[in-house]
Amino acid sequence: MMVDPITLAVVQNNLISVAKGMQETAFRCAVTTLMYELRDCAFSLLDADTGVIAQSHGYICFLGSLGPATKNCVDMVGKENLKPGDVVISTVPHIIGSHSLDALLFTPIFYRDKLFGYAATKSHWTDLGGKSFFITDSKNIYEEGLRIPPLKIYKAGNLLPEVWGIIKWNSRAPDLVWGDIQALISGCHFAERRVTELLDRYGMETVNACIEEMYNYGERMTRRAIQEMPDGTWTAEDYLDNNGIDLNKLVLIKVTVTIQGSDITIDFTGSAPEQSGPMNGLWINTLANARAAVKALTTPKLPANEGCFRPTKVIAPEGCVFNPSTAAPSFMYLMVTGRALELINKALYQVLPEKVPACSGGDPCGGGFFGIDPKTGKFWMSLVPCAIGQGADLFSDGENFLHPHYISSSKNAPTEVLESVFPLFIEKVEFVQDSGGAGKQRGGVGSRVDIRLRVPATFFSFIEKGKTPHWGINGGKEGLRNYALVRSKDKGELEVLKTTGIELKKGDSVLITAGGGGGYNNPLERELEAVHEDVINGYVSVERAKQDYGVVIDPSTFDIDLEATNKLRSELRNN
Amino acid sequence: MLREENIPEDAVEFIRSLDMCYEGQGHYVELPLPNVRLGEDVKLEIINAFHHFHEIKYSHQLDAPPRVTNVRLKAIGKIKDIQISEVEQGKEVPPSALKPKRKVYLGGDFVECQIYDRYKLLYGNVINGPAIIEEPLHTTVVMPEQTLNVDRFGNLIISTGGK
Repeated sequence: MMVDPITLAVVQNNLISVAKGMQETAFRCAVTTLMYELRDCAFSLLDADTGVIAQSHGYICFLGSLGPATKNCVDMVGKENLKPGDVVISTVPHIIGSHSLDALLFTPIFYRDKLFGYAATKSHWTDLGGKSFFITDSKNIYEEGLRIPPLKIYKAGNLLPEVWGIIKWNSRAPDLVWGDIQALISGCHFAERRVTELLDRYGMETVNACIEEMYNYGERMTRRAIQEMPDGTWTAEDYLDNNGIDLNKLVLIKVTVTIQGSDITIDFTGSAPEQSGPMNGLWINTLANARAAVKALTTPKLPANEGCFRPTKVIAPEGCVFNPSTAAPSFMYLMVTGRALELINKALYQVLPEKVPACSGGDPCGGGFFGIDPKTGKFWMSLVPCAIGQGADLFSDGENFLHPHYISSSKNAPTEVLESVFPLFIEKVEFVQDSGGAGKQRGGVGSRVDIRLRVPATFFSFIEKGKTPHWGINGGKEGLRNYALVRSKDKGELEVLKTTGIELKKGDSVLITAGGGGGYNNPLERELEAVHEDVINGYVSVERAKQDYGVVIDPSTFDIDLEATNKLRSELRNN
Repeated sequence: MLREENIPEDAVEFIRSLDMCYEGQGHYVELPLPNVRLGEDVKLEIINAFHHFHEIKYSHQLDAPPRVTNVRLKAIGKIKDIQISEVEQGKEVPPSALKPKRKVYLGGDFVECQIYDRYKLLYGNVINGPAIIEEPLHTTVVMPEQTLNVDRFGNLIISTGGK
C-alpha cells in the first residue's frame, strides 16, 4: 500500500509525539528526582515485532535497547499470552541489557483485538535490594539486586499483588519504586489512548504502511550517509580506569569499524575479557550504544527508528567485556558500554574529520548519598551527575557543562531541588578553569560541585575517565581528568573515583570535579581575541594562556601584550 | 485591578483552584474548587477530589499524602466591546524612537544594528533590516533583507522578501 507524503508526515509526527507524550506523562506523575529531574529513563513506541517506531528524548543508552529488550521478554512470556491491560516487567540484566535497577516495563497495545505494538519504558528504579544503592565493587551478580524474569505485574488491568509483594519486600524504598512504576504505567496508558485515536482516524493498514515507509526512509538516508564515507577498516583503543575491584589495573576496550558500501560493522573483538568486578557491559546495551554512535555520525537530525539501525552490524564476542556471561557482575555496565560511543568516534576521527570531535569528559561523573533522614526516619538516596566539557571539533569550541553523549538528555538537577528534597547543602557549582583541552578550537570546560552533608550519610561514586586522557585531535591538548575529593573530619581528604560507600558525618563534604573535553588543532593557532575572551570569562587562566597558547596577558588589566605574545608564539612554534 | 479598569462588579467572575501533588512528585495538577468557604469540613472532600482527579488524568492514585503547593485565585472581567487604540500617523521614524546602535550577532556575524523603541514608532513607519525593535517585554528582530511596516494599531508587520 502506498501512502501520500502528507498522510505520512502527519502519521509520523503523531507517532513521535506519542513517544514524547509518554515521557512527559510519566514525569508529571513520577515521585523521584531520578525520573523527573535527572530523566534517568527512556520511552519508545514499538511495532508488533518490537521494531522502534518512535522514541522520546530519553537516555540514548536506553533507547536503542528497548526494542531488543522487549523482544526478549515477549519471547519468554509468549506473544499469544499477552492481553489488553497487561503490564510486563523484567529486571534480569542479560534479558533487558541493563542492571536490575534500570528495569524494563512495557504494555502491549491492542486495537480491536489485534496487537498493534508496545509502549516500552526503561527507568532507574530507586532500589531493588542489592548490597547497596549504587554498587561499584560487586564480585557477583547476586550482590546487585533482585532479578525478576519477564512476567506480568498487571493482568488484564488488575494488579497481581504477589508480584508487587516480591518487589516491595526486597526494596529499601518501596514507596518510591511503586510511585515511579505507576508513573511509567500512566505513560504507557497515554500511548495506548493516543495510538487508538490515531488508528480510529487512519486505520491499521494505513498507519502500518506509514511505519514501513518511515523505516525505509530511515534506512535509505542512513545508507546514503554511510555510502558517502570512504570504505575501509579502522581501529581504536582506550582503557577503562579499572574493573571496580582491582583499582590499579586498566581495562582495554577496543573497536574495529568497517565501512563497506552502505554497510557499517562495529566489532569489539580484542577488548579485555569479562571482568571479575562490575565493569562489564551488557550485550543489548553494547548494541544500543553502537547504534547511537552510528546514528549520530549518519543522520543526526532525523528521527530515530528501526530503519536507521538496519545498515549497522555489531559484533562483541561472548565472554568479552562488552558481552559477558550471565554470571558476571555488571552493575557498572553503562560505564563500559557508554564508552563505546566515543571509542567508535576515535576510530573514525581521521576518516571523518568534519564529523568527529575530540574526546569529551566522557563520563557522568556521578556521585551521590544515601542514608536515613533523621527527620522522617525514611531512607533517602540522591544521585548527582556532574556536567562535563565536550570535545572541540574542526569548526568550534567544545560545549561547556553538558552531560556525556549517552545520557545527554539528562538535566542538571537544580540546586534548589537538591536542597529542598535531600538533606544536602550545595556550597558551589562552578566551571572548572583550565579544564578544557587547549587547541585552536578549545575543549569545553567541566563543572565542579561542592556538596556538604546536613545529616550523616554514605557517599558513593562511580567516576570513570579519571586515569586515561580526554584526548585532543591534531595537536589539540587533552582536557582535565575527572575525580572526586572526599573531605571528612575523621578520614581526612581522600581522592576517589569509584566507591560503593564511604560513611560520612554531618558537615563533611565532597567536591566532584567533572573534567573537560579535548582541544582540536594546535593551540598556538588560536585567534588572540578568542584566548583573550577565554581569560576575561575565566575559562582559561592567565598562566595557561601563556603556557598553552603563547598569549601574554597582563593579570591586572587583562590587556594582551602583543609584542611579548608574538615573540613567545614564535619561540613555542620553533620548539 | 479590574475596578481600576472600570469593569462592572457583576461582570467579574472568580475562579479558585489548588495546585496539588502527592508527596515526592515534582509536578502538580490544578484542581478546580467550588465556591464554598474553605475550612476543616471540606478538607476530606478536597483530598478525595484530588485522588479522583489524579486518577482521571493519570489513571492511578497513590497511597501517599497529598500536598497543596499553590492556592490560586483567578479574576476574570468580562467585557463586550473591545476598543482598540490607534497610533499616530507619521512618515518619518521620530528621533525619539531611535536608541543607540549596537553590534548584534545575526546570520553568523556581528552586524551594526539600529535599535528602536516600539512605543515611539508611528503608523506608516517603514524600517529596513537589520534592526531590533525593543519594548519592555519583547524584542523583535528584523533580519537583513526584511522590511518592517507599522500599521495603524501599532502592529509590526515584517515582509520577509520571500518570493
